[in-house]
Amino acid sequence: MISWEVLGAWLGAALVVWIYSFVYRDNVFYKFAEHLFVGVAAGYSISLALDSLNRVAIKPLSTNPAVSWHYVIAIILGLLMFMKYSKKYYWLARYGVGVNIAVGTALALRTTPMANIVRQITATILPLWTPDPVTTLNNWLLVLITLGGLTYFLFTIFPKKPEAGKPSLPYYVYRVLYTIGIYGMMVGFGALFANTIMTRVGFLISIYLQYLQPNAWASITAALLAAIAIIAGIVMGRSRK
Amino acid sequence: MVVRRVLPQFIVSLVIILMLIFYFFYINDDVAKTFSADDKALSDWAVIISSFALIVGGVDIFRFHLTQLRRGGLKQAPFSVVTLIAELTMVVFGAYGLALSYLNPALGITITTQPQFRWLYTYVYAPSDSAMYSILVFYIASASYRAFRVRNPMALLLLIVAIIVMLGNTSLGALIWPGFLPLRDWIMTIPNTAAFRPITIGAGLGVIILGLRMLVWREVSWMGRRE
Repeated sequence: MISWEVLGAWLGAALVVWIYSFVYRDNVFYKFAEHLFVGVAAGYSISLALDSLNRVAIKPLSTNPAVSWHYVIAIILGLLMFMKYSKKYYWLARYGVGVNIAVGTALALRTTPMANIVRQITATILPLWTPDPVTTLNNWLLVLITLGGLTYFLFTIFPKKPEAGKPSLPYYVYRVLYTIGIYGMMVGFGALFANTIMTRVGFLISIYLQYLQPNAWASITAALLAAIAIIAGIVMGRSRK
Repeated sequence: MVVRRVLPQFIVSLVIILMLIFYFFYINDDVAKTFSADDKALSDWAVIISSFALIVGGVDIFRFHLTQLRRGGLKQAPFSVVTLIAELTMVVFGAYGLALSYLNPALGITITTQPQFRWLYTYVYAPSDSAMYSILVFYIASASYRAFRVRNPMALLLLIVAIIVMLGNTSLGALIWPGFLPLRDWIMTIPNTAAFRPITIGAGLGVIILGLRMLVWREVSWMGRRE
């Protein structure tokens, strides 16, 4: 008797192989897995939304209506979002969207000035001469690369190079900072790129570790069968052409 | 015009101002408590409305595939059926879990712990999600070939840093040269932090400007179609 866990392992293994078959070319197995995933993901989102609604609105309303009555307004605003399907009353959906956007904007306006600007600037104000040469070098690098990046992104009015004679001192300063900024960002992007690759490879490995290993034989057989089916499908498709 | 465009914008400005007052202003302890409660209420409203937005998104996918079923022809229709059945199944099991949490609370079953829902999550959603996410590694491989072709000193720097960080992240790197790990840590702490600091500041300024534009009704793209 095959248990649900083993059946699940078969299905999981097959889905992984079907999805990876897209690397070779688009095919019917990939399309099936893709559509199944979209359906399940959409259903999962709806269920999570129902769960959230239940926890945040329905339960407080049913247990303590005197305090939580105002959630009815939010529920009505949420229901108004379905008016987007109406050609005549689509504008009613704007009320719900408006409140949501306003809360998001207010939360961002409250935290961004401190987190994204003030803290970043204070973290850059560092002692440039310290007894430890390594710390001194690190602080210089931090300050120069930050200033260079700011020069590149924000102070975008570049001092002009005179047609005749030597360029001015601000021109040279600007040019040096600009170049340091670009090179600093290349280091940052290199690190970001490497981390992205490592994350994706980590996911690739985790698929095997998490989903295939517990029922190794069932999973390997399922993966092999799925691979054979894909190859057969592609060969049949070619011979038909 | 007023109820269609002016009133929604007025509500946006009002909610932004109220939430800023709740956060920044202090009058006395009692008022602060009221402000805090009101602030939480507005945040809860956003959570409730977001939940409805998620449901609207799910309904949109359902409607799209229903249309595909009618107009997509035989090539698309079977796949749309798969999506529709999968979505419905997931929602039905989720709703069943929710109903059980009210009808028989002693069972301790909720939406996310409903057995069939969990099975679909563990054996269909989770592996597909990971596979979809990790499939991009193959495209990144081809992108990295293009990115890593050394054409100038900047590309060379990007390549060297990427190799060091990758080797520093693996045990193989430590086997080749033990210095890869501390070097990676230094890159991440000093040049990487400094490189992303101006980007963070720029993004922060962008968020503030967008917020101010919303406040003074200059940003109207969120309202969608124009009358």
